[in-house]
Amino acid sequence: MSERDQVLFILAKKIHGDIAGRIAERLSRVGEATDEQLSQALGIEIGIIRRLLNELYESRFVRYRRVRDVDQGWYLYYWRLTDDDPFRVVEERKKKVLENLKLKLEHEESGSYFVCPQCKTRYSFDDVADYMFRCPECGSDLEAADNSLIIDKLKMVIRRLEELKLE
Amino acid sequence: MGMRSEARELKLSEGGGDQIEKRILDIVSASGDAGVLQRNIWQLLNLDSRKGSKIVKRLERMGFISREVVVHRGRKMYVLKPTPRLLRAPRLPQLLEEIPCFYCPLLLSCSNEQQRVLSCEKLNQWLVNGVDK
Repeated sequence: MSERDQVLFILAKKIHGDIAGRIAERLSRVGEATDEQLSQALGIEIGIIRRLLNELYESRFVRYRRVRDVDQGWYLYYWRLTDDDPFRVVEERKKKVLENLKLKLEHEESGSYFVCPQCKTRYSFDDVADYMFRCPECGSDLEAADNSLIIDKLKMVIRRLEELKLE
Repeated sequence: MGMRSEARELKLSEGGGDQIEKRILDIVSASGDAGVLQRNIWQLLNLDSRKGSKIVKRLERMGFISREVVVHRGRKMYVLKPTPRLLRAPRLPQLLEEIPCFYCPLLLSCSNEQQRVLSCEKLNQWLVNGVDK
């Protein structure tokens, strides 16, 4: 397996699980395969293979080539590992993570939060108005939550992520 | 799958028993040509030498580190050095391991839906639990 494929294999396995890892490994070895071929080679039910291929496609680990079967008239999908540099896959994920954290930060900074002193569940202001400022779980009066530590943590992680250089 | 893939997997893996192996590999990898005294690793990671030796021997068998005997003031000691195999393995920064989103299978689809991000239980837990700085 080439170095490039190794990185894709490890990421795919870690993100989408062991079977997804085996699919990536198989595709690296044979180049291209249909869902049925993968199902047979790995001894895994085709439904699971299809679901994982879709997940791997969503995450940009695999691509496909579509060919119409002349005899039967339907399409066959030939799957292969992506041609992209795996570090672009990593870079894209990093970008998405940053977007998520920034959205979260914006929300924490703008909205007020409440916390149940008993069960420690956090609620946003919108939720709290519906619950009449009582915890829907245990009925305790909710208190305003101090989210300054959460905001600090988000800011720190965002800054470190932005400074992070990938190979 | 050869040994190299195992090396990478160790480096990219997280949690559990893998964590000690990963930290040993990180230290040895950073020590470069000079290597590092095995004894110092036990101190750094607070490991007892019997448990540590087992792990180190396994990493040696897997071809990630080499062990050389040196004699210091009449005592035999081991110096651990990274093998070319270990130095070649690609690594992802630890920071990415710490944020739950990075290795989440839903990352690419969820980031288009704000509400899913905001109400994500894993993300909230991480924010609340890990507040240490």
